[in-house]
Amino acid sequence: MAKIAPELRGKMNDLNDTRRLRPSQKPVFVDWRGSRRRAVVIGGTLIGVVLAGWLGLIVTSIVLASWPGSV
Amino acid sequence: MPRHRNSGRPRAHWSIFALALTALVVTLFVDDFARETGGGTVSPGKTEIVDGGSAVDGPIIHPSTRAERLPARTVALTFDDGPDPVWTPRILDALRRHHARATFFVVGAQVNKHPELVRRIVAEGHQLGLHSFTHRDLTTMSEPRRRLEFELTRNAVAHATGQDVRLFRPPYLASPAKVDRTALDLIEDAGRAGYTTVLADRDTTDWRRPTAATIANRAMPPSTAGAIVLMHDGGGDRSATVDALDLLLPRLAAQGRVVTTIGAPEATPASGQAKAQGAVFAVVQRGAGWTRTGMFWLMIFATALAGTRMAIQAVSAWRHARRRRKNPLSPYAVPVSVIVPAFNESANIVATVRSLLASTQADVEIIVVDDGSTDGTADLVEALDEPTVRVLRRPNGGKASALRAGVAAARHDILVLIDGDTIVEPDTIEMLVRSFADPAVGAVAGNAKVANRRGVIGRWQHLEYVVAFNLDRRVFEMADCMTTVPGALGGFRRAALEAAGGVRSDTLAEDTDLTMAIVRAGWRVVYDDMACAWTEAPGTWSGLWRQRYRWCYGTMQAMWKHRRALVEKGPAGRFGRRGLGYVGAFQILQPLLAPIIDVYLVYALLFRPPGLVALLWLGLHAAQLAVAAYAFRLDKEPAGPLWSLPLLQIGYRQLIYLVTIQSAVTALAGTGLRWHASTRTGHAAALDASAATSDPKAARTRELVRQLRLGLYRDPRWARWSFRAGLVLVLLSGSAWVGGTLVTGRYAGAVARDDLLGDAAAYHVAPDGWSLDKALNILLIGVDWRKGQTGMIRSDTVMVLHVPRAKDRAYLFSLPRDTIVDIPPLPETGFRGGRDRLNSSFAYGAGLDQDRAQGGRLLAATVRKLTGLPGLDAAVLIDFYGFSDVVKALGGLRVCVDADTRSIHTGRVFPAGCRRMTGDEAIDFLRQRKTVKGSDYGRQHNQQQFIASIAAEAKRQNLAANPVKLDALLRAAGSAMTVTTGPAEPIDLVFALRGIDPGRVTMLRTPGHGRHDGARNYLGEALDPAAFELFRAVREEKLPQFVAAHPDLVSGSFAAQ
Repeated sequence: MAKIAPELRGKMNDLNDTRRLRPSQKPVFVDWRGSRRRAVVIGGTLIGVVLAGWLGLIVTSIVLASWPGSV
Repeated sequence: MPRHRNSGRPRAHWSIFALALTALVVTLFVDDFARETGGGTVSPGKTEIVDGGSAVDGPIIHPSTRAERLPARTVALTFDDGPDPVWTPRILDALRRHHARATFFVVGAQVNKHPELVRRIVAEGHQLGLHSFTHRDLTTMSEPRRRLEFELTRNAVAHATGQDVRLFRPPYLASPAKVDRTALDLIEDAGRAGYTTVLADRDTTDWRRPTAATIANRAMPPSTAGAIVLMHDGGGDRSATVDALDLLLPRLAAQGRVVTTIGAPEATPASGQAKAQGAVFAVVQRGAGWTRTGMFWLMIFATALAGTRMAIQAVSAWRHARRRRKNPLSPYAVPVSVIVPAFNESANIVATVRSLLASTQADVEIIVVDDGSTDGTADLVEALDEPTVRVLRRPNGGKASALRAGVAAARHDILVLIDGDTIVEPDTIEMLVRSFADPAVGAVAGNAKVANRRGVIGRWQHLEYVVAFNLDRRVFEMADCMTTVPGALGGFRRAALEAAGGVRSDTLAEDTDLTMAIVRAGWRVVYDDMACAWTEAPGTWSGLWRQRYRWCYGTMQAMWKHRRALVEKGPAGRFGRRGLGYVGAFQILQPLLAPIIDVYLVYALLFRPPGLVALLWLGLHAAQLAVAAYAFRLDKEPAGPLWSLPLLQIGYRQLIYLVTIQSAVTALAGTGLRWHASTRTGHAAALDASAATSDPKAARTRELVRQLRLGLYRDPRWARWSFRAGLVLVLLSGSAWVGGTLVTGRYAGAVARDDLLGDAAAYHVAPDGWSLDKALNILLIGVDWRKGQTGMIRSDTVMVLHVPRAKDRAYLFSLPRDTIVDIPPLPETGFRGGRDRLNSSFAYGAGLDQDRAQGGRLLAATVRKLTGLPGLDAAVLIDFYGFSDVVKALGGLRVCVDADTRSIHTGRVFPAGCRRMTGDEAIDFLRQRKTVKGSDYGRQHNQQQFIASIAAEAKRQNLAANPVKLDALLRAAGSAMTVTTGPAEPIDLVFALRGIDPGRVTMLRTPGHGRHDGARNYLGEALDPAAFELFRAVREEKLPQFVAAHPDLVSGSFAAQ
């Protein structure tokens, strides 16, 4: 059987239907170009940096204050 | 699927998730650390007081441990525990009014909260000192922890004011006289770190909130020596302290004293590093505070959300059930096409088709659409060779495509779509299609039940199906906004399918997508709980994860696809705003908030005292259990699995919200998700008793559910009676607990509590070994004082109630009020001690302010010194006038008068003999001393008799059987008394004494004689040697032997009353 291209697969099945109700559609949310994914990665990285920075701030200030000879 | 690189499920967000949770926990710990524990001072520690060492010769201890005092006629006012936003400004205003300067020992956490107040303190010429960061006891801390306290406070002050402050006062340490070994170690440590420790000469104890006059009196130095005065500007209501300054400062000025700061060492400019560190931690503390506040309100919001959902579910379910009862559906004979899409369903397909063939609905055609199976699914169905069953074979194109093919091939207008692993009941199709008698109905959701309920995962999914899914469907039907007709079992009208555009492939939740489209097209979609079918749920965590990931992501896709319904009008708008709103709030937002709530909840339950959080958590679970029980009842399911409902919180709930997060990130990132077929194990097919691999237990469950659904089942008698008995027990014990709490709270709240014992308390002398289980010595103080009366208050009666360890008897002895005793000094009032009558000790202690607690403390110290008792365990101060209400509540009291007595206060004559007296008469009689036979000893006997009479009268009236009178008596008694019970509650003391037999309370006379001078002037009472033998017997717990040896000292017993 010939290999069917993914974007046509749905349509081939529809041809078998005796009553075709609606052609298959592009999946919801899927970002073909990848621009949303890049934005999510950048946003996630920023959030991660902020969280790590906040943790670092807490840990550093406590360690410095309780270090011997800090007085 | 998208063609860009690195497509596939996103994973990196889990690192951010873990980082966020860690940051949250650490932030909560920081906020907890920064919350101070309050102010005040406590009694000296357990270790020995350091006496006479050079380090504690004075209140100012320099780093070299050289101690010094302030110069003569100099007073340094010091204020601890601030800055406080309410009281510090008022104190600064008062100081400014009187042109005085003071020293403020500030708490670091407060400095970070109110840096502007600290700057004002400096700007107005006052001096700063450090008072730790969190106001916790530094003597109990490790070295690094102590360093942290010092440094954070120093940095906070450096950041706020630019000053490097080297004055220090430890929390909970006021006076050089109270420096013990551990405190001295702390002071020496502080000295090595370059701090000058400043204690106080005069502790106003203003944190106890005495009157302004008392504070001012306590602050006044008794001599011209320099004095450091300790007061507080934070940690509570300091209004009296503010008022005291207006009394104190003019007085000090009138005496020519100089009010100044501590002085050296003065503050120096802080280093840049200290300022920077202070600034950083101030930001951290502020951020932690905001985080905690945000978390708290988020928790309230999440609780409200959960509560709202449960309320909506409960009300809607009730209305749905009522509607069904009032409008029962009739059978609807109509031809039906059942479409079964199947991909590799060999484990269940035969059982599924057999169950359809057994359907009671006439004229059913069955179409199995084999979607390219590779396990012989289509062959198995064809092998059944049934005329009403058709098999459509097609290449694999997905479930939506298979359904479209089945719909196209179906002959009838009513279509039932089920999964290839769904086992129907004989009446399922009949139940499902009867709703189509209403021409407005476009689709019907069936009641899909979990077949594989054994095992934790199966049981939890069963709970979820019944409680969450089915209740939600009732909500949606009542609100005309059904969101999902389950793919496992759903009925559709062909016209509705066509209006919706058929089954589509652009979401992974084609059933949700289709239902939403049908509702938007204006069709009604209903739920029939009687149309049951059994389906196989994932049996492993990974299988469950994959299924829920697809469902959640698919639902999000469908919601996004139909988002325009939010703004549409008519049925579509109703669906949009109600249905999408409900799903968005309770199935998306609520799970997304859940991890934060879980962290806060666990943190609060483990590390904070139980309070609102525990109450909300318990309340929510109780409500959840109630709603779940109702859901089980509506679904006619056996209630057994409900026991595991609380366990859903551990594991299952976390999986659901992690799936929601994963789905949300997948949706945001746009990576898409493939359909993942579950591995079938045949659990659904095993319900078919005729199947080769039947599961008898599951089959029995199925039969039980069917009988329950049809109303054919009744619980065994033993189960019914056990349940009723259990319910009664729960109600009784719950009522007893609530009633007991209310009752004890009512009476405990009526009793005033104060510290009447001070350092004479046994629990201060030996705190480790103290408990109510040992022998107890209880001080009873009677005062003859009427409210509004001015002048000094003297104690009229002093008794000690000794209760041996066995608590089956007691001994009561009085101390003559005129006994000449050594009264210890009381620095708070300026009383230097001396030799005077016993009843004067109370007066010296109470002073002109009539501070009864202070009077009690000095009296207790005097009694302890007189009797040699190691300590007193409790104290009761009885107001005679208040006690007349007790007599009134009893309806009078039987009192025996030994000889005719005339009252010098009212002129009333009390003839000899026993008679019933009213409250006023009894109190009048008790006050008499000079006209009573035996004078004070006679009155002691009368007072002891009075107490015995009350006990006897209460017993005689059997008050336990008269709750109204008992209530009046207890409340009258409570309002007439002030008690001190130390670490124990008053109710605990009452409970400890409950075993005392009133007939075994022995009243003893304390022998003594009057002393006179040469002119026969009365000088007071002196105790006989036998009295001191009595005291020794009390100390050594040898009172029975003493009583046996001195029968003449027994003045009576309660039994004689």
